[in-house]
Amino acid sequence: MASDNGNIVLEVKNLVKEFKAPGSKAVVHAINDVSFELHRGETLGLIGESGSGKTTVGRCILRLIEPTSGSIMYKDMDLMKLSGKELRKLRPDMQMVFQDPSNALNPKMNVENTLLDTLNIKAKLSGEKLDTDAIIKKVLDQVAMEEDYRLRYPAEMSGGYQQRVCIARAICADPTLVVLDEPTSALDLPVCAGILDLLRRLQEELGIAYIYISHDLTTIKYICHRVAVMYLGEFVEVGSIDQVFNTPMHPYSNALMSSVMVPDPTKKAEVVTLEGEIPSPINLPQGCFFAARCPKATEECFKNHPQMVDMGGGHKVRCHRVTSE
Amino acid sequence: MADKIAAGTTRKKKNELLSFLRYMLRRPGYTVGLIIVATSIFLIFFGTALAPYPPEMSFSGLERQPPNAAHIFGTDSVGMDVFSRVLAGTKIDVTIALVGTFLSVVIGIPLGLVIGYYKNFISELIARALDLIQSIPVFVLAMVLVAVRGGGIINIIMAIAFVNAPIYARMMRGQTLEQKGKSYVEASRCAGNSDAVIIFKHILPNGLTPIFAQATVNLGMAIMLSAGISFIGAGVKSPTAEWGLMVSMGTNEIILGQWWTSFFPGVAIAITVLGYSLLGDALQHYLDPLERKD
Repeated sequence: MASDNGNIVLEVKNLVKEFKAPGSKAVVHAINDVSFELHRGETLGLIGESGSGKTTVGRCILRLIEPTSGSIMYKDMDLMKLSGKELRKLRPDMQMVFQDPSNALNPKMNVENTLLDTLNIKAKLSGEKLDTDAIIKKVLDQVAMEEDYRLRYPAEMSGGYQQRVCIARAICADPTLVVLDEPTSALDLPVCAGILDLLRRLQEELGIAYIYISHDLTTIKYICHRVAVMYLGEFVEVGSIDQVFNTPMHPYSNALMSSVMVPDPTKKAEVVTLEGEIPSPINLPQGCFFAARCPKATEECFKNHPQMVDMGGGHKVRCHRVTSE
Repeated sequence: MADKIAAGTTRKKKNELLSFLRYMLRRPGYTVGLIIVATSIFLIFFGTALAPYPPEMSFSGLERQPPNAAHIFGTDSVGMDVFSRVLAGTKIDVTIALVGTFLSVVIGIPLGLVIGYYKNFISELIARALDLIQSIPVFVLAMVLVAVRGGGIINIIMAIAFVNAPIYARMMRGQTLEQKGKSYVEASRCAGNSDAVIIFKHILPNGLTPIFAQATVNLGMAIMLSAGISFIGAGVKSPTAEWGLMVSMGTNEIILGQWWTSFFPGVAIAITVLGYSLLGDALQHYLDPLERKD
């Protein structure tokens, strides 16, 4: 994945999302200042524990929820500045695959109608005529489903096939970007492997860029090119899979990576255990968000919020202790 | 492989209405309900024609006849044939209930969809107003409405529609809120679909089922309501053949031992309400995905 700018599909800058806490005036800081770029045909993984804002980032990019501030540049257009109509025209370009396939398919629509729901609106918005029948045929073939699944309803399919339909629905719009929100977490392990292989193959064939959201480090390692570690609504470390998994710099990533089990009995596991919980997103800590749980924290960490610093080769980290060394 | 074989067998699009009828016919209790409902629908159209005497004609000199061969249900205090009036009364009571319930569903569903889908101050206000209306006893509210607007069949229908509409609006709102949270709605929006498409193609079909079941159950209640309003004297006026009114007219004579004037229309109300309640119950069970349907 060369870093030539012509290949950038999506460039997110200083994305912030704040929610009003229901029933009070408190503000929940779901995303604090997230910036990244995504190249054509690349997979960026977002990892982090529950409540770190991974899914919110995915939904903000697609403007399924409205970001509070920041900019999302897609092909020289700022998605944040688009009107409703303009945004709808762009929608087919950016698709999403959801966590629970049984929830992501309309139970009253068979496979064909589910795909037509996307294809018809795409044809209508772009004004071009689509050979929907041929597209459905092609797409089902691409996700390795037999033609006779066309008339099946979601309840008549297994979880793996349901997820294939969801993927088919996403790619039938011919997207440039697909947000994958934990697409395998509801599936059995063997089915999960099949889906991951399918996603990889589709990326090679179609050159789609993925944003892969998960807390499962092994699947991230398997499918992603680059990975961003999220903590309390911000990126703490971004880099290639090799950089982040083999030489993690941020103490939080370090702890995460050490929790990955290695199938090698001779290797001694050095598990870094973290104390405490992720802080409340309502009252953000003044200094580094991670300082209270960090084994290396110094006085400075509690006072000043660290900035993202490029440590070379696109490996960026947000930590006073790493950057001062 | 097994999957492929299963997929290869072409499934016929089952006719839901036929399979529901079959479901009811296999259960004796529901069969009774089905027969009652079918009979009542039949009588709406042919009740007056089947009546042995004109239902609103009084035979002078034949007042207060107990049931006999000529008047099998007897005659009332002005000499009208009770049997003819019970048959003809089906038309008014059942039609009022059917049309009133239909109207309340037609009003309630779009209202519920809109206030469930668009959440803002106004929609919340409407939702709370519906709660308020629902907190008033249905019968009292309907009575007040009819008293204000005056008794005629149209006004009774409107009253039934008005008091029942909040039930369906609230149910539809709840369904909308539930369906809106599901990912397939988000996926449809992601494809670029408009709110209208999302509401009518995704949310409505998935939220409709419990409302149908509830409406059928409520039909029985609506018959009670329409008869009840006329019973207390707020509804249709004599000599119209209407069950509630007939029961009310006969109450004065019960003390004299002339039970038949009130008894037969009362039984007609009870049987009809039972029939529609059974139908609603059957529909609810039939639509329950956890229950076996064969």
